[in-house]
Amino acid sequence: MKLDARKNLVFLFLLSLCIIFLVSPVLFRNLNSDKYLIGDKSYFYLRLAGEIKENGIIPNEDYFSYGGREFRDEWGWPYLLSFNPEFLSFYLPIILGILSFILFYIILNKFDYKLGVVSSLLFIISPSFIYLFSVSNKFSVSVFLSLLAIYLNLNNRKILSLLCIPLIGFFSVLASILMLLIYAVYNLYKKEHWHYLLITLFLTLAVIYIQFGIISFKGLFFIKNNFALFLQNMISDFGGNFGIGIFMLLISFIGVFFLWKNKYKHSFAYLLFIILFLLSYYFDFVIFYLNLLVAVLAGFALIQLYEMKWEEDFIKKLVIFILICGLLFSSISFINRLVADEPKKELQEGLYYLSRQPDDGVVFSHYSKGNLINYAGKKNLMDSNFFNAPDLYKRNKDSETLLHSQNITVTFDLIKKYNIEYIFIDREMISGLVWYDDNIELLFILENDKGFKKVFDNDYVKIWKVLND
Amino acid sequence: MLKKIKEHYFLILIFILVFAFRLYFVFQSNNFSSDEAYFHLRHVNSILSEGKILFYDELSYGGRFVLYPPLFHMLLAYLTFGNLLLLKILPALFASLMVFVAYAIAKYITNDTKTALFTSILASFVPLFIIETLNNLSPYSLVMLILFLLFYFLTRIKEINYLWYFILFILLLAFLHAAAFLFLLTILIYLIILNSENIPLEKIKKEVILLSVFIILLIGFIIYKKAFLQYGFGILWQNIPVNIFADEFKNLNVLDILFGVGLLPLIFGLIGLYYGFKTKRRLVYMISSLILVIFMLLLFRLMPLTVGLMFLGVSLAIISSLAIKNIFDYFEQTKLFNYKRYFIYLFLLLVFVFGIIPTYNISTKVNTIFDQTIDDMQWINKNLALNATVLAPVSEGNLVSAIAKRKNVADSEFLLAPNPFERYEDIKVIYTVGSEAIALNLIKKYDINYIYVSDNLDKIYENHNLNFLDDKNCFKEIKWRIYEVRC
Repeated sequence: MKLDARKNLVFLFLLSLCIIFLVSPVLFRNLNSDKYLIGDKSYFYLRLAGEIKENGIIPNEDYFSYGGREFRDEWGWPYLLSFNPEFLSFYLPIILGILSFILFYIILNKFDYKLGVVSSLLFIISPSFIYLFSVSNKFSVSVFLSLLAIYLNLNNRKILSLLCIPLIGFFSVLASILMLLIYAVYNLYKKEHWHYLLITLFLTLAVIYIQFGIISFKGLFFIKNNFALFLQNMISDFGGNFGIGIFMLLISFIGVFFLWKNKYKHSFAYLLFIILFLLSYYFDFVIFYLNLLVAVLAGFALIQLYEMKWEEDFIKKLVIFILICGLLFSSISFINRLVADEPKKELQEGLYYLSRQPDDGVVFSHYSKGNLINYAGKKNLMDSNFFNAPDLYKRNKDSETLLHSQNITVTFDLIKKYNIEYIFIDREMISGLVWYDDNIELLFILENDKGFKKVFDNDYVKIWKVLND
Repeated sequence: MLKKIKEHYFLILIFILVFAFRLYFVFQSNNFSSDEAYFHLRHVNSILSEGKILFYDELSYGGRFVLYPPLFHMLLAYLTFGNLLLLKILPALFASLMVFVAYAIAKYITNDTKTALFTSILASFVPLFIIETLNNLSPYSLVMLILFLLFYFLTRIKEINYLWYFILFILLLAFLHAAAFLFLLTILIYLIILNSENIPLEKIKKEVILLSVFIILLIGFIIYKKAFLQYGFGILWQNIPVNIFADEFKNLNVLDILFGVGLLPLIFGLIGLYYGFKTKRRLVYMISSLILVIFMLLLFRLMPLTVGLMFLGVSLAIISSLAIKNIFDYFEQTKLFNYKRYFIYLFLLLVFVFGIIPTYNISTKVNTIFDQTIDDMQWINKNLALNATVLAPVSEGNLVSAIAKRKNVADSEFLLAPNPFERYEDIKVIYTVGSEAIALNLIKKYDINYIYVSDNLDKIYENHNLNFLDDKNCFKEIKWRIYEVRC
């Protein structure tokens, strides 16, 4: 009885910590007067959710993205948000985060109580978890449903568990394919029957067909990766958007080292680790899944480190203290980054100005600003929704030419070609995203050519209008 | 007992010799030998005057964040209280203490006093170690000492005192310099070598290695957090402009190795490495791992050549002890055994001719900052507006911020510096273009108020051309070499 009470207390502590870590980015941004969603993709979903709420159906066309294109994205997340777009964009990820934590805790508790507690703690404070469940994104549901699938499977609800996989397809087709792959590997490992999996595969393909028709992988590999960039994305302390903390990753390697003492007993874990690691080279979102495994391995390592016999006890205490400091350092510094992340108040002022302009033309900027421009009710030349985007490579090339243009004729030819009416430049673009100087290439032309008029400038955002005469 | 006293007497004599050698050059000039020393001086003075570490330097690059481990500056500040003489002596003392460390390691490896004494001389006169740390506020004078002490302590970690020393010094190294990561890589290679040779590692060593890895990573990530986030793995190249990178991260070549390491440490070091691997000594493996790491970093151009060769030189000099010991042992087995004393004198002569004299010759060629340059900077400090921006070549930028205490356009601290490549190129253009229109455009870009025409301009920019300064309407020579921008 006493033990149960203690377990409940520990769970409550973890739950409170989970809420604190998930709420703090939003809370601190509010305190900084940046009452805006984090990241540019959140605005894509917010806009779509608004449209769905208004019209009651998933749109067939996106009038703003790439100057107007067919709508090609999963339906699930914008549809869920559409019940109350503004509120749910902020709070639905947090709710899903709490539910995911609870599932993760229960799943691991089935194996080992200590592992459940320590790994859940590591899961909660991991940068990847904080990003996943504090920024509006479709993968928050995917990961939640994946955990639900594992939970149901462990409770011998096989059919329900497998039904989760096609359901994930409504939020992220790639995540559902990943889960199918993991299930297939698990089936091989456990030597189980394949008929359930085949039915799931059929259902998943059906979900993909309903949403996308005949699937095309155009634009899926638009962002070219290299090994340095991959490692940078993978590790949050190296600047990765939602990478894993360096300390957690290192501790998980120690976990693998400890597991290796039993040689091939845990070969599924090694295989899964390798698969997820390799796939994360091509697909960023796999890091969210890898983070689950890393948290378990790191938890296992911490328990082993604590329980093993050390020659000097004070070294053990020191090592564990430093590890805790390192893990907290990664988390806190990541929260700090989220708090300071785009968009900020000044950027919103620029977008507000745009939204009030009557013109129907295209607003040109770096593609990472595209979703924000769309949210302001203006068309963009391109944005970060590369999947199945029209003329993606051509638009990207033209966009680069325009940004780095030193020739007025070329500049105006492209402006005419894409019917560009405004050019939107912010400080991030001048601070290294595109340029390191505010008086070169397109910026020089904008400042010095009479074909442009600066219509907005708040030190952070500058907007030029293209003069037609 | 008598032998032991004699041994200590010789060791102290060598220390005095090395220290005196360094002090001789220190007292040749009132100034330091490099512009980089003034970067450290500025930080030391900031700690003393403001009472806090300088994280944001308002003068460097017109204002920028500075990332530098604080311990070196704090040590210098609180041990010297900003006294210039002490600031010159202290790094010389740190570097000279290498005599004792090299002696201790060599003695441990060879168990021979004579060899250890010779090794301590060789390690103290490695040419690049002398050049980099002579009359300079260089953290390497302390880093080298601590790094090799850590190897020594790790070997003797079973003795409880050494365990505490190890923990203390690992903390010191982590707060002192990014070279702490070099220790990490060395340990990694060391573990791989031990594993491949099937040599078991004691539990306590595993524990302290784990501890040191996490201490260095934690402190490193705290100190360099901003840079890691900004550059990712590019932090290895420290945001150095491409053209300077080509000079500093040069490809390895035999002549550079010979010049930087020295003839004797190179030959004896390589022989020593051979004997070391043959005898499977752990401390030798550890230093060999460092050599391997340095070699790989230099090969892949991940480390400045001078820094790499400096570490390589000292490591090889210490490993030389095995070769020296074998030479002495071999001599004792020959019929010339009775002339042992003369052989030692001959060996000493060899060390003197091929070790000390070449290093002395190189040391005489180490440049120091001209008195006139310092006078000019002090004049600027006393006479020009506090918020003025003074243009100087990048290699003299730290003098502007440290002595003149005015904003510079760029200096040699590139990590987190805004647009260093562009600034480097723009400064070069101003000093070489001759065209007033182009120069004025750039002067306006950086809001430059004064132009410093350095005495070193001939060396820095061979084709320097400042003809535009003849326009008296725009530029006024307010002091010889210092021009005010008036339009």
